[in-house]
Amino acid sequence: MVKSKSFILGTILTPLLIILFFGIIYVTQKKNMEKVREYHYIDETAQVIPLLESRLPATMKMIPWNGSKEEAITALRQKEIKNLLFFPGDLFDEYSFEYYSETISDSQRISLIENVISRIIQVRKFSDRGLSEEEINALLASAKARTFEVTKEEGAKKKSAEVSFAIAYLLVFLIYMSVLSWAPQMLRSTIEDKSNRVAEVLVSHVKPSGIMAGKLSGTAAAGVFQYLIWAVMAFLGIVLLKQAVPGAQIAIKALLGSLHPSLFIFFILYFLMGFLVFALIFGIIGAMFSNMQDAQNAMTPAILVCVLPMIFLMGVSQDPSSSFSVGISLVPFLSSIMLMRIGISEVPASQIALSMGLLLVTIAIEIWLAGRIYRIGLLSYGKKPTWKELVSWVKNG
Amino acid sequence: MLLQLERVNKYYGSFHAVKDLSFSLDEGKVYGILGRNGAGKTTTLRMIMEIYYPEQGEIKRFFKNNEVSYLPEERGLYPKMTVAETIDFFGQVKGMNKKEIKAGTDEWLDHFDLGEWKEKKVEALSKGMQQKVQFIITAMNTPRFLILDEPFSGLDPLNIQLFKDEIVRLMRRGTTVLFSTHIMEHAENICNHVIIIDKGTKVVDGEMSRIKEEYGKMNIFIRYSGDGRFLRNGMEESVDDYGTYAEVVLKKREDYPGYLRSVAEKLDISEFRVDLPSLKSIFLEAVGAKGDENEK
Repeated sequence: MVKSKSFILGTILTPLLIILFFGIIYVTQKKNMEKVREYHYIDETAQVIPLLESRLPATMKMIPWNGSKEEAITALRQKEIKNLLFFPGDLFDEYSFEYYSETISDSQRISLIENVISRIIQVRKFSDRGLSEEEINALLASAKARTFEVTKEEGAKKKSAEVSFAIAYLLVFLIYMSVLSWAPQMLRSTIEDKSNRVAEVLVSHVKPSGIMAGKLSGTAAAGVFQYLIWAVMAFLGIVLLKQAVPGAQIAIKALLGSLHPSLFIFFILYFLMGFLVFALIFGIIGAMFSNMQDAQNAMTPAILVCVLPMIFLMGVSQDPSSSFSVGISLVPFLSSIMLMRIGISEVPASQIALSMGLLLVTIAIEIWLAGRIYRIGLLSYGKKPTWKELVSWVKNG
Repeated sequence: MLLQLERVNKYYGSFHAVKDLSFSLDEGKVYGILGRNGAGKTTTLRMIMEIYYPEQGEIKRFFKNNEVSYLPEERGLYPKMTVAETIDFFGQVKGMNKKEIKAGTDEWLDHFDLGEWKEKKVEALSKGMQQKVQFIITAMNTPRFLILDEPFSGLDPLNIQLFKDEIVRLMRRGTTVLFSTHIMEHAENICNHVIIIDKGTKVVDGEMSRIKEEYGKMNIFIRYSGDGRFLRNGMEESVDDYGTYAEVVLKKREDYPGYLRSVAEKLDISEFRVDLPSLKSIFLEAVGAKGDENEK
């Protein structure tokens, strides 16, 4: 598998394509934001526009409309103008203005105008009450949180909440993606052995449990190998970025400051165990069926369980120590949530030990079950086994 | 002795697939295990290979795992692998080292006239060529014991003969061969010893020559000119007279010299041949007889 063109191309091209994908989005957004947009306006207050223009970027150009609002709307309909801002005379009392456009999906710019207008009205109100500019700025200053992670060993350590969350999310996402990419390979290769009628030839020389172990270790090794290549590519990318982009050094320092070596050790452990948990399930499903079409329906519940951690992530990140977060992170099939908790909070060693213990027990049970089902299923062709037959496979395997 | 089965029984649920089966194999011979479809041949071979296990009885294997090679009835190859990769892969599965595999690959491929297909993918080969590759990967380690389940199925007559020649060649090099077939003629010329199974029960077990002596009737082929009525003199069980030749089955085997003398006096005989009974006729007779016994 690792010598195949598809593996090599996929390994090298995937990160490049991801970078290209996000790069295109970034460049497109940047170009979009740099594009000059014209906003025709009617300012009944005769005060707002100078204040608004000074606070908006140069790409948002304000142009006065000298007719009525109805005429402006007609011009809009006839595509003579693209955007119209109407500031009524009671703007400072009602906090409300109107925006007309051929498209109102540009929420970013609308939001920007709203924020600026809000600020203008607030300053005006405070100014009317006799406050000076300094006093107004002090009153309207935004609070910013400086975040510190407090651990038993290190005490309080300054850490970026956003970066911590991003790293933990990334690691969980990597596990989710890896398991979803590699675990079904067990199913595919088992069905391949059956559909190509190679299974009995193999079984005559290697015990079914040996075949299964070989497939597991080979698939896991291919996955780890792929990650090693990606890690090297990421390292080279960081080195190049540091040299090519002046501001990148600070961002990279913040990123590295949020990383702890133990996080990577846990990542490897949870990746391997998470992979085993699902790979064994997929191997069992593969042994039960003779072709991919029949196996697809049985795969669906397993894939849904695989996806569950991604759904719970946001909730867990907001309160990683809650009973709910602790509870679901201990479920072996959702073990990547424990990794998220480790990445963003200090998790008691007892919980980590319990999580790993439960994972190992689950894997042991699955190995026992898989060995029995594999033994008989590998040589069964044709119709899908009933639940009764499956139970007898487990009893007699 | 290489293998001994003692009163082996195998069940699939309530279905009794193999009943009290006992036989033994000695080294250096070709054994045929014959029977109809569903007789229990494949089940027996799988039990010998420890793919299945009997519910009762014992199988004594006097050989190691790496001394036996098995070609199952349900056999296939990985279509995207090349012939060379396939031989390499299965060679390693069988415990051969790279050097041994490399040394044997070209020799076997040339022997089966597949040399130019070495780097081609298996899916590019015809069915017959694929079966040759399957035979190669089964026999390439020159095993002490070779088990083949329906090795001739799907082959054309030329390839059937090729495989038969290979089996004999391996036997002469010391390999004991056990193969199963439901087509009796395949076993006719190469087996030293036959075991016939019907409905899970052994009905015949013995050296080919002895069985042919013991079972079945002798067929006499006579090419003649004259009055065909003289073919009938009371000694025959049946006469198929085709005008210029006839096939006669006598009631008693030992009557054939007397029958020949009697017929030679009355007819002008240009060809006379005594054929030993075929395995097919032996099978039909044995199964018929055992069937009656079982019903009693």
